Amino acid sequence: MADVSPAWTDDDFEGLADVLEAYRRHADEISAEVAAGRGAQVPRVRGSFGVSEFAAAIRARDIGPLIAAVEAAVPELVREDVPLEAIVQELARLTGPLHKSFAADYADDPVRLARAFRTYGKLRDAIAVAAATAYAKRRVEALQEEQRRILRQLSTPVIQVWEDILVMPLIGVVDSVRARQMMEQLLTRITELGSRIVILDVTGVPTVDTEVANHFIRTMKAARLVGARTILVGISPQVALTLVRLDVGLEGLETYSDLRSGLERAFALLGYRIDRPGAAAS
Amino acid sequence: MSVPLVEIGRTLVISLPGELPDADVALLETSVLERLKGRRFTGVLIDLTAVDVVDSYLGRTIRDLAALSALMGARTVVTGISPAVAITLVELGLDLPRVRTELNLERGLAWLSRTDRT
Repeated sequence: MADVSPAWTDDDFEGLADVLEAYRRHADEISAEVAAGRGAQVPRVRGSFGVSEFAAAIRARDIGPLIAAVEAAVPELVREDVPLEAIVQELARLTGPLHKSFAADYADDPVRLARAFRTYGKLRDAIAVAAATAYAKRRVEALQEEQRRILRQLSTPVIQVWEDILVMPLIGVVDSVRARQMMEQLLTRITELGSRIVILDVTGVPTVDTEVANHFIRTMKAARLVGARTILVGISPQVALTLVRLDVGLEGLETYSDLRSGLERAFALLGYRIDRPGAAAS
Repeated sequence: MSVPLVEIGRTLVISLPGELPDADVALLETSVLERLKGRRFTGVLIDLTAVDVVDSYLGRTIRDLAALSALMGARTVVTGISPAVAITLVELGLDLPRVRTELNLERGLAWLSRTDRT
């Protein structure tokens, strides 16, 4: 912000003091006019700075805290879905009534009147720039958060396919962040549902490295600690080759070629029998 | 001794409390051994339901307790491990490979009674 906003001189602050004085003298008319301009349907933008903060900034000869207060108020407005136009309009609504008050108070002193106009414009610009910049920044952050959340859910679904059986299909590249998330999500689901068997389906994983292979093993170990047995399915020939070349210890990991065989194994372990009455007769 | 040792039939249930000072952890092994001595327990169940956090000391103690009771001839099962505790134990390399684990106390007892009959 400092690189675009012009420096504030003592004269500017004298001007701001006049602005504040005029505002104080005409506060009732100004707020009435602002309210009239606002209408009923426009969301109320709560004042991010009060008269006392304004006065303090003039005394301290520093508008920094005022700008910081504006920036600090913006995330709340973004959260409440107040559009940027509403914020800028709210700021603009103040201009007309304030200008009228300057004209009324400083008509006999043209230099003072001009200075009040000029410094108020300068302050309004600074606040508008700060608000718009903070708004854009916050919006981008909110969007990114939302995207990350959706991606997390999409990339690591845990499906209860049957009583006691969970399937976790892995799709795409597994990195350590995703690996950690999927482990946490899987363990939470196991404890919530009391699942006994987890089928880890890696059909959609194109390649693995040592880290990912070790992650499969860690997941299996952690799942066992919360009382579930892991079946690994869908290892492609390429992945199998890599695992052998890497010499990753997959001992003790129960593996099946595809999801169907894994599911059959899970049913067998739980004592289910798949039966189609009448199928043999036909 | 702040760790309750409860006998259910011929099973000794060790319920670890959420907060366990190191001094009590140190006493745990000897007091469990005392209990196992003489009486013929067929099962030992170590329940961690109340435990939210483990460190390497507690983790090793759990592993050693399980190994001890197995050596003393009792079927041993660890139950009630939370996701966070499971992740920590795996990261510490204390994933109890030779010990039976079950989701909760109920399933642990069920497993013990199943293995009892055979």
